[in-house]
Amino acid sequence: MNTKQNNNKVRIQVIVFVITAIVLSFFVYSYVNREQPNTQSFSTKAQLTPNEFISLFNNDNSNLAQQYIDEAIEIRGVLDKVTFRDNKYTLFINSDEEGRFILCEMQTDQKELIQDIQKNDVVTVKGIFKGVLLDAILLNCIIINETLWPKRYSYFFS
Amino acid sequence: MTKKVFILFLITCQFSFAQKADKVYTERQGKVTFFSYTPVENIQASTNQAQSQFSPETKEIVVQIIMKTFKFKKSLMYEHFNESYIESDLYPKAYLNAKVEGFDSSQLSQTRIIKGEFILRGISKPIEIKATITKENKKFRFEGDLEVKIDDHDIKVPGVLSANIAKKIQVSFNFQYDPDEK
Repeated sequence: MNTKQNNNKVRIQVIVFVITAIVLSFFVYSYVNREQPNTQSFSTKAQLTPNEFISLFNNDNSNLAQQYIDEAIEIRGVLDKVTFRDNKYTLFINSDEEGRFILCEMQTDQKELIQDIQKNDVVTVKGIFKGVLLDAILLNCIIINETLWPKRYSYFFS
Repeated sequence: MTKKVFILFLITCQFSFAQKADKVYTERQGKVTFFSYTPVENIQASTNQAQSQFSPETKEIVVQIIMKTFKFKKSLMYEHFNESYIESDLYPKAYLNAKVEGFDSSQLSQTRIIKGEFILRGISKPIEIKATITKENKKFRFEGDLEVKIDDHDIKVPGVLSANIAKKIQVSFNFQYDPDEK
């Protein structure tokens, strides 16, 4: 009787161990193979105009600028052009500095919204800020509905 | 009076034939892709935000890349690349300062060597890149590839992952330069 009970105990332990291993493996696999999440799911770090944004990258403000890297930023500005290269749409938003733009490479699910906009439209985009070269660069951008921009959280100019 | 007019004419000619400013061509969405091939794992990432300026007169070319603009299939690869290998918080950008040897702006297609310095993780190394340059509708297209050795730029790979990362990374690029509108 004791032997039988012991065998059952061992069997249950093995089953529990195997189930735990399968569940853990699933979570590890999901973690390792996760893709970039949709920008919609990121909370916005700041809402800025193009000039406020570009002025962050003057040398005096470079420390302030660093905190925005890899964060979701909303930019509202005038559209200069839309390009389509390598199967990706990119919006060029004007700033007051001649020859400097906010470049927003769009997520692939934004294709239909992009068809509705054209040069000189005021657009609001949200994207993950990566840094500044000639232009300020945001990736995984989405177009934001204008009615969702009631307040400006301008950390620099408040 | 005639002498004064003649001198004025000469001065005007001097300004007219003064050397015109270098025309600069710019690429704001250059594509750079790198490949790491090993028997254990193949890794590939690309950016469409390499920015560059090229002067056909001086034959100089400058390229800048924000390392965090490289996109990977998996988020974990992106994190490892930026946090462990490149340390992008310390070295956010890669640079190329170079000259196109023997560039001839009148040719519609040419193959040239681009010679200069490549800076990654703050370490500068001389580099030579073979590029095919085509001219179409007042634009220049540069295409080519090169090899970057991870040891040259002090990229440290943990022992556990050393079989997953190639010692020599294959890099390809495709840039289309437009003339500046100024």
